[in-house]
Amino acid sequence: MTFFITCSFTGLLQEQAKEYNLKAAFIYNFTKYIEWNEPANENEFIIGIIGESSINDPLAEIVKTETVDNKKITIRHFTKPADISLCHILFISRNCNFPLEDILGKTSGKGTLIISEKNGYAEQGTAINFVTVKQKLKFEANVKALNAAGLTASSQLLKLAIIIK
Amino acid sequence: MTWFKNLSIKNKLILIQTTTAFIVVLICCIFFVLNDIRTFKESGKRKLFSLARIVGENAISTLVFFDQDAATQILSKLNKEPDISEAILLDKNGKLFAKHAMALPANGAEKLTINYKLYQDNEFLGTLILNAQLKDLNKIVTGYIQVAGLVLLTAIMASLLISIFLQRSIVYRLLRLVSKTKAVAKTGNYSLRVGNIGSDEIGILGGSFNAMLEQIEKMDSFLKETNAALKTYSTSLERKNRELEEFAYISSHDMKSPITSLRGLLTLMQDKDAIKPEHRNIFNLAVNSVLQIQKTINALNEIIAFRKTLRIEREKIDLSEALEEVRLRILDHKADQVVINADFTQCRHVNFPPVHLKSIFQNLLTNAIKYKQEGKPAIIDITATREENFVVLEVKDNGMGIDMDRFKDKLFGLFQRFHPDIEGTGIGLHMIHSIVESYGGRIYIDSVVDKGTTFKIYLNNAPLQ
Repeated sequence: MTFFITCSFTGLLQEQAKEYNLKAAFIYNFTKYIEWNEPANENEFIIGIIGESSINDPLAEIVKTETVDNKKITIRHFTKPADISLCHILFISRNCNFPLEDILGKTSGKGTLIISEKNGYAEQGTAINFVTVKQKLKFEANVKALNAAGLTASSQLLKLAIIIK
Repeated sequence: MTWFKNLSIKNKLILIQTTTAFIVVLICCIFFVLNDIRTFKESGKRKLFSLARIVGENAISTLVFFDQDAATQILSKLNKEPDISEAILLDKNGKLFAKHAMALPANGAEKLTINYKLYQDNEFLGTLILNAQLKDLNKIVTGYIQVAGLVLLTAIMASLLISIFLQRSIVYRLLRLVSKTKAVAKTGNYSLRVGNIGSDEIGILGGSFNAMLEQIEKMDSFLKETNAALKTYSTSLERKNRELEEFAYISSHDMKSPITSLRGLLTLMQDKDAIKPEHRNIFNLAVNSVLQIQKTINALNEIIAFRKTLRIEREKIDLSEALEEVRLRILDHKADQVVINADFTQCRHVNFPPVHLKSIFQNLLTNAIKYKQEGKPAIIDITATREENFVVLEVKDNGMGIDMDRFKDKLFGLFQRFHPDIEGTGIGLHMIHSIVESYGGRIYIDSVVDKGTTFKIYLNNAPLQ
């Protein structure tokens, strides 16, 4: 097992890096197509991450230069659902093994955009879920979940998403 | 342009008006067609630009999320646009992101390309390129040309009709004027007038023409009257002249025999010694007077006889032959004192009555010899040259000459004598003059006393009938 990992480590690492570069870019781009109805009073835009993920580095890179509505972007890492505090976006890493209900319960009604990367998660209630179709990164959108979180997604975004009802 | 110059005014006017209308309408048509083509192109461009804007804005999110399939799908919606042949979406690095090509028949239609750059929040995301063919343009141009042709045709027809109608007011009146002038020129009837002339330039022309006709008519009738009077006058003059000639002839003729018998009687008286010696002087004076009268009567008779010979037929004479004949007749004894240099190389013949030509030569030669300078031989130079319808005889002598200041006006008078101390009758120059003028010629005399005289005689040399 260790051997296998070592062998394909470089290739895998590159694949993973590319995937998470894209995902980080997507997450940032979502902010342009989604409106947060209740403007939080803070002077920062908070992106939370739960579970260990390779997205940390590319996202940190983007955060350095970009802003959302002229607000600085801050990244917060949570280790368990109980830690989750108020944030605009919560990214659930595929390495996060806590039950989804716990996480959703912690964030419901707080205007948080939940983004996941596990097949079937959108059906279970995350607003956006990354999937791979024909080796291409796509995303599912759960319109009900979006609306429940008090978010408005632009039609330009939805037309690219795989809509989950 | 000679053909245009010789075209009748009527056709000229029609041509000018029609051409003007044609050119004006043509220029208008060209202007409108070009303007419409430009407008069409511009509106095509605008339409294409707004299409690019709509499609481009729609495609921005596909660029953001790298969704090439969605981009291709958006572009493919353009296939409802008949003019667009190709739609290409490039990403921010200029690489092909999505493309859609419509199957359009390749034709000569004008190509149009629109590049629309896509931005989001001032960030350059990519470029949308639309390639289009304005294939309706050819159809529109063809349509315009057809319409323009129709308009041109209509304009030409209309201007033709109008000019035919309008030119009546100019050309019809001009033509009337022309036909009137022709009628006047042909018939010589100056009582004709142009009617209904108006007050424009043609009217002025017609009025002037009428005024001119009036003047001509007046002058014509005046000339006719004067002519008639002159004719009557000349007839009576002719008659009187004839009577005078008759009178002169009769009187000179009738005086001839009494004078002859008077002279005979006087001779008889002398023979019979009927004159006393102391009266001899008076008798001699009487005899001289009788001789004088007889001479005058003879000269008169000669002139009258000569006058009857004028107006005889002309014929072709050899000048040197005529001169030779005259020379032989007069130069019998004085031949050593006379030199005649005749040069007829420039003109050998003249059409003239031989009798009169010889008479001219004879009179001039006798005069030159008779009035030659004392102690010098008479040198006479004779030349003949041609000048239009005349043969010019130039006879130059080195004689005593004539005092032109005194006798200029009397040169050709009857019984005029310029050298009374030398015997003569005074009819020679008169006769030459009568001959030359009666055939339509002229004589010029140039003379210097003690140097000589030059006669320039223009003989009418008109071709014989």
